Amino acid sequence: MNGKLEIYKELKYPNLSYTEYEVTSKATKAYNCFAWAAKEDDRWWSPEPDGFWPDGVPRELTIEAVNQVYQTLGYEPCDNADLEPGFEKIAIYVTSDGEPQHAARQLPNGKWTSKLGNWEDISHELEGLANQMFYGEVKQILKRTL
Amino acid sequence: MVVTKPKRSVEEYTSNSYRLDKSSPKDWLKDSKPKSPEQIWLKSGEQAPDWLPKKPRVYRVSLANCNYYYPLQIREELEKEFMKLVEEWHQETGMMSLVSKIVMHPAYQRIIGMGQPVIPLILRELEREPDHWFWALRAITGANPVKPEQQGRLKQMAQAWITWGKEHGYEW
Repeated sequence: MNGKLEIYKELKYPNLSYTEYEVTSKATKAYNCFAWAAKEDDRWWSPEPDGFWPDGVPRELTIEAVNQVYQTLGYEPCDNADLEPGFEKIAIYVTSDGEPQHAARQLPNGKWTSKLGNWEDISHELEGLANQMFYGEVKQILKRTL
Repeated sequence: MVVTKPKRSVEEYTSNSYRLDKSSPKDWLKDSKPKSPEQIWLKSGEQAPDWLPKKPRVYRVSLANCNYYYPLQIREELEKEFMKLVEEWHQETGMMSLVSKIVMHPAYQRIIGMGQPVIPLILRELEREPDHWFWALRAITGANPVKPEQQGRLKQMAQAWITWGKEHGYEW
């Protein structure tokens, strides 16, 4: 499954082509990035009525709500994206207007894994998906003990 | 029933110039409101007047609300436009992870604007591959057959809507 995205997909992420990344799954619409960051691959996590959202968390598109989503899984805010033995981390990409758009999960080798909307999973560097047009920049790191 | 010669030439005529919805009363024509001179209504099998050109224009009529009649696109045109919009929507939202972003795309909004006639096409797409059609279906129909525990599970949500569509007489 390893390889590169089709060119029209890669062009959506201008940083990808000059950072390391590889495709790690087939494209599927069964789950999205917020689910994949939580290690789920069979449903969409999204605050709208069509998505799964953990009970008790406000169904709103704010960094506070997304933090609460992952706090239900034991994650807490953290100040760096470095690989730390004994911890796993999630990075939240936020647009300039403060809306969380994407989540990535750190792999044991320090790379990050992301589900790209309806497309494939990739392993990548955090900068690879930074893009003001779509996902924005990483504004929040969360971590939990393994 | 009065048939009025149209002001402009009618390009197309057919004895199937209307289509009854299954749920419509059989005698809907008797109670229909006066038609504009450009419209003609003929019962199935009724002889066409001589002045009608042979190439007919097909009008299909929505009877969802029997107080109003309005011509609809013929299915082939509707389907062509729908598929074009679906392609555009897929191409431009594939990388998005939030339902609210995906469904706000102009092509998706246009599909919602096409209204009840696209429901069979949406259900057909949903049957082919579960996708984020639920927002549009809710917006057009006002229904929501998806159970809370199915939220986010596209296959189950799609099945709930397909079942709903069949129960409500939609065919695709």
